[in-house]
Amino acid sequence: MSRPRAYFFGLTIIAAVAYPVTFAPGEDSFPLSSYPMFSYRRERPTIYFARAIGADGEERRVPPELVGSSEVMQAAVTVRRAIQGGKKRMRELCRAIAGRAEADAGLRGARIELVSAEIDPVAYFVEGPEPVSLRRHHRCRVREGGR
Amino acid sequence: MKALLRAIDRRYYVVAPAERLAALRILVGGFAVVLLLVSAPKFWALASFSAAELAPVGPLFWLEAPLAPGVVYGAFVACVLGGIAFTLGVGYGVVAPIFAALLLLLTTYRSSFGMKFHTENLLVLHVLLLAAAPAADAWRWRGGDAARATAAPAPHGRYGWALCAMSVVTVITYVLAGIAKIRNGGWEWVHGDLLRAQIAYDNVRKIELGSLHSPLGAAVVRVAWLFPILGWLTMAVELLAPVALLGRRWASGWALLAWGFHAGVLAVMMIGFPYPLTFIAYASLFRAERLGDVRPVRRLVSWLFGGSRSSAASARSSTTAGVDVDTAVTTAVTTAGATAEPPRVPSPKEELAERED
Repeated sequence: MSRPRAYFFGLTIIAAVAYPVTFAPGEDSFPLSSYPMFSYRRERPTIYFARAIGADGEERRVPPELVGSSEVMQAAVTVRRAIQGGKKRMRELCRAIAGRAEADAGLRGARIELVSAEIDPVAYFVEGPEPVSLRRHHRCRVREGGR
Repeated sequence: MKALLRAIDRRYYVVAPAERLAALRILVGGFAVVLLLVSAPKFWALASFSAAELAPVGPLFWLEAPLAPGVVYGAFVACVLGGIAFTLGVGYGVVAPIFAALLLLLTTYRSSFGMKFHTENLLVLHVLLLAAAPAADAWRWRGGDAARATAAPAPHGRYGWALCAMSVVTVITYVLAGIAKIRNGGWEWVHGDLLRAQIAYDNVRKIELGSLHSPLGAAVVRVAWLFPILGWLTMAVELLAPVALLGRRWASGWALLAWGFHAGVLAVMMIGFPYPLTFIAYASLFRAERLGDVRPVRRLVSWLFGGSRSSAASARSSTTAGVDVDTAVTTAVTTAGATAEPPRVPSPKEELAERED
């Protein structure tokens, strides 16, 4: 590669990588990023998740794979979007989770709940794991029979 | 002004041996292939995401519906095969841009479903830069035919600019992360409270989402006094990253600190940034070709690439092969430790140039 082309290509990439410094707070993209992860204040964030309540009343967390992604964050976003998307979206997701959960003998007959919880993260570990508030948005049941 | 431009040119279009760029190609390309294979189920699963989950980003901003499963599978397989060819240096002029484009496409698509994978940005940017550089002029697979192995070309600026650009890009990503913390969290970030809340939040989220969390992180959150120290250290690693461009000692110190930062993140949040954790992300800051001096690596290089003569040898035998006259002196110097070369004592002139480098 000639010197001018080396300068053009290299400096274009460098300038593009630096460009996200102009992003508004909260704005992000890929592969150009402002790398905002870990940067925000987390006072009392709300987390969205799915949980399973067994026939005996015991509560279990639904692993991300059953939500539809092995990535924990992607699963959380899926639950959040369903909750924010309204009843239809919640029903679809709850059924999808219940369908996948049928393969897990321990979850057969359990009740799946889509939940949002406001938490104080530091207090969770220092004082105890109770959420500040918790809200059940939708529920459905895993079939007893399984596959 | 001219002196400044010349100084910038010396730093950017820096004379480097072809093996150094080739070593980066092998390290970064090999890493990308391993990452793709290890993450294959996750890339494969992209084919089953629904339109409701699609939130296209970056170069895929125009996407209105998920890609057809066949396109995702095909792109993945082509990307892996392209990555192998890229790493071996086969058909580089054609293969490298295609591989870079496919990797950009796949990773962007993966980040287009609600979560941006910040673990992949730097890798993609490095591959893009390598794809535009002549990174297969040395250590290129020649079909197992050792007899076809030729002398690597002499060191030249065309082998150095991409390494410089990769290092600058690496540094910028850390500075951006530091700036984001100041902009979004304020200078309070260095007091440690925000970091403490981040570690706690990340672990709570994983516990509540039924994923693996870090017991160490959960324990560390209870030790409040630790966080101002960690806060300052984090900000120092990120905002002072440009010191890595001042020279190899600075680069070594900074890269070790940055690696430690990622090791810490892994320990307390179970978030792995494999690219920096393998140190490959920082390889452009160093004489990566010296890995070829390690005996098992040398054997592997010799077996794969036919034991081509090093550029140091060619530089000594011919200083006219495309090397600028004003850089010819330093060409042999920068490869004093090149592979397949017996160790030699540098001359005083070479030592001086080495220090300047």
